[in-house]
Amino acid sequence: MANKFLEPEFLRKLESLSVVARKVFMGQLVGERTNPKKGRSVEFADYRGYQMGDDFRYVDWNIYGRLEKLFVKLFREEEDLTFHLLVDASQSMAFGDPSKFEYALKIVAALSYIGLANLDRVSLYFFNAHTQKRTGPLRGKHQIFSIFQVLEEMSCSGETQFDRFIRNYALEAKIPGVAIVISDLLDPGGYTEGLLALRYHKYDVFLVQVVCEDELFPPWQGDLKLVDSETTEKWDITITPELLEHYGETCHKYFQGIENFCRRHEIDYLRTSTSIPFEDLILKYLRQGGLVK
Amino acid sequence: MTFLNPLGLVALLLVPIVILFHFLRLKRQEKIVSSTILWERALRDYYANTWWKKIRKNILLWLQILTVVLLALALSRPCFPWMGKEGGNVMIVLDTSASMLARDVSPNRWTVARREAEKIVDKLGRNQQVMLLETGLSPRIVVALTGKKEEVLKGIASLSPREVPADLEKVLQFARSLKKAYRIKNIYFISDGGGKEFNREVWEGERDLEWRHIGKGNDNVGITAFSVRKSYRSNFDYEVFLTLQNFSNESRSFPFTIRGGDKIFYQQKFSLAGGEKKSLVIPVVSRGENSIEAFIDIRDDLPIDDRSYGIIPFPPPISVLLVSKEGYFLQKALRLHPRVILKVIPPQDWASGQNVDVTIFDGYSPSEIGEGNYIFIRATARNLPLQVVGEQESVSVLDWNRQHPLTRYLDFSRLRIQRAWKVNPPSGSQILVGATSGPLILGWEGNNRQVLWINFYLQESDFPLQVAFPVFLSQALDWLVPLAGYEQEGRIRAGETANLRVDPRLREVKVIDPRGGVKLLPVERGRIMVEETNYQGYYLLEAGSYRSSFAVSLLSEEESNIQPRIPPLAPLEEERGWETGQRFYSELWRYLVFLVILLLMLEWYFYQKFREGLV
Repeated sequence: MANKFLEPEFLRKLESLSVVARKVFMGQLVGERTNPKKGRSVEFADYRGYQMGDDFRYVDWNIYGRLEKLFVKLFREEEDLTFHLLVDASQSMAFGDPSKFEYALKIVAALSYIGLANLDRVSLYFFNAHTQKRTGPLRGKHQIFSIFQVLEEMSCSGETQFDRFIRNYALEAKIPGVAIVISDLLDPGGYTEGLLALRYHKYDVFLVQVVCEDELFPPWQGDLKLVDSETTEKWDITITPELLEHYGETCHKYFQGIENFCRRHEIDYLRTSTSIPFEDLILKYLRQGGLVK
Repeated sequence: MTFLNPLGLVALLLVPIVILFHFLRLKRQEKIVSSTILWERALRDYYANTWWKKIRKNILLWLQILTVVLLALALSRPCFPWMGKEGGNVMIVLDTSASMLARDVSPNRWTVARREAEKIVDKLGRNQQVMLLETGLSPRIVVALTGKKEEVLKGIASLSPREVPADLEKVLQFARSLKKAYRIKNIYFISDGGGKEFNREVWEGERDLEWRHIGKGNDNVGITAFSVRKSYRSNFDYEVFLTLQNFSNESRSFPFTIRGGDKIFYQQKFSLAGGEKKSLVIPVVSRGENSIEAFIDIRDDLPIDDRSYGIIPFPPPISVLLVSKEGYFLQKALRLHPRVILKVIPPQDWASGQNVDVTIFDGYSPSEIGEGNYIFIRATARNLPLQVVGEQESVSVLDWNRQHPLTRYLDFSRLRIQRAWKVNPPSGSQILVGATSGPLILGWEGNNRQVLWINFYLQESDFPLQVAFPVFLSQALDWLVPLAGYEQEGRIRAGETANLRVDPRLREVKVIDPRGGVKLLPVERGRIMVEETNYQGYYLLEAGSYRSSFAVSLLSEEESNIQPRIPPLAPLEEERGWETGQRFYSELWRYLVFLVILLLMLEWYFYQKFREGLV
């Protein structure tokens, strides 16, 4: 089952994890997640009076013996959960070592495997200025190969239109669930509207921002012409230590703004750098962030 | 601040070229980044914070523009007038005219001017050279350009004001002519502005000229015109013409006296209102007094013009030797002349070397004559240039020179001559009376001889019977024996050159000025030129037994008017103040070039820092 995204040893570790949904979603198929609906799981939920047509197998005969009244036992329904993995596949994700996109694909692979292993449904959505790929929802552990296949084929290019495509996705997806958005959030058009649209459509949103070290601590100085990888816009700049310091402050303010926004709108937010080992991210930081347990 | 070469500012056109080059030359290394969104925000905040950061963004460009601007300024050679000790060569012009003797400042203008000059010399820098000039009717270099202050101070000490008027315009032109040759940077003109009225336009635009003005008052009464002339009423009476002028604003009263030797001709008390001018004609009767002096007794700021000197034109005798067999008409006419002491000898008694003023040869031609004054009547000498070529009969006068002192006022139109010489006039001679076939009377001067030829016998003409004859003879004697100072009548003004006729037999004449100074002057063609008439009074001319004199007086209304006159430059100097030191026009281009070098070094420093990314 191993591939370039996930090592077998790591996969075994992932099997013990599951994605945490902050709220209970209505599933479509029987799964492993309890549901407010009464169903056919083994977990007792309640009694109700017998009605014509009820299955005699669910009549609690012990109560009938004591009370001479027919009561039917009700059980909790266990349904599946849909994970929506929304991945930014714009050109800006191609930076870093490993690249942010590569890092994001690994996150997608890991979370997909966790979801599929827990009988949840996994839906993948890659976007830049267009919808690059839409897969799923997929269910069942065996679907991980399809996902790997998709991930193998994916590449990043072009500009981002984060808000537009996230908003469209929120409108189009029929079954809300946990939306895990993976992006570097370096879209001049902003990110707030897309995320708010997900929240509006009852998604439990988990935002993973992937940045690389060069973005946090640019290693350049002197007279440069900075070229935006997405827009090809050019900026003449003279990078001085003072400017670098100021750039660091600007980054900090930008990240702080994202944090504040997410906190206000009950969006879980995790910022990670490509320099952080991927396994640490999944097993340690995503756990601390409350996405998996 | 002014620009000596405003064309240099054209270099400012390089500024847009620098800007163009700046944008063309900057090849920045391209760096592809994931997104510039964060850089954009960082830069926006960064450069919005301070203007300095904005400037620093293009500091190299700013430095280059500043360099070009300073370079253009340096090329335009800006200069600042400033006070200081440093500067180029300087010229000090000291006014030594009569008005500098005015006592309106203590002790007098001259002393103050001299101190001012000494002050300037003291303040000169070590490398500065100085030239000293004095004014007068003609300027004079007292000390040539030198770096030795002692020499200049010595030169200043050697000067004293002369009793002459000044011609400041001439002095300024002279100073200007020297300025370029000696690379003079500043001219200090120390004067009261008095003297000959100058053209103000001459002073305008003279930037390197600094006027140090001396004097403040105008309390002066003076004699501005004085002459003694013969009265028309009598042969022995004279009259004095003079002008008294009050230059102050106040009315002044004073006694006025005219005297000759110890004899007082005239004494009267006068009163002149402020600015009033009064001309007088006063008759005087001389009984042998030769000199005459007019003076006013007043205490004013300029005493020198309170006195004027003249010579009574009392004619001395003329000794005449007549060499003639008979010469009746001549003797008669000469004996009537009041100045003539006549001696008559026959031709055989004549010998050269006679000590007489005039020798008249009447029909007798000597072989040779010496130097002196001669009248030849139908005669000549071999060592004279007159050539006799023939005779002319029944001669009538065609024309005569009406301007010459010998023949003016005379009428020769009725003169009839039976016979006369036909001559070729010598070169340089003047034909005084001419007939159709040649000259009848000629005048000639040369080789210290003054000769008058009359080419006909007087008895063979009706000339002795005409009124013109004695007058002609009298005028001929006056022409041959002029009187030094006589015709000038004491009207030689101080500073002017006296061109005097003296005995033509003299080789040189000793001139003694009123202060006892003696100078030996050569006699040329019966004249001496006395150039140094710097002081008022009587100048004596002596040569053996020869004695004569002439008088010199200031007689300058412009000089007597001691009211300070300030040329157009003065207001500029008043703005700066008189006592602040010397003015120099220092060029700033050296400093600008130094700044340019500094800027280039700074640019290099920033360039290196930018390359290293340290700034």
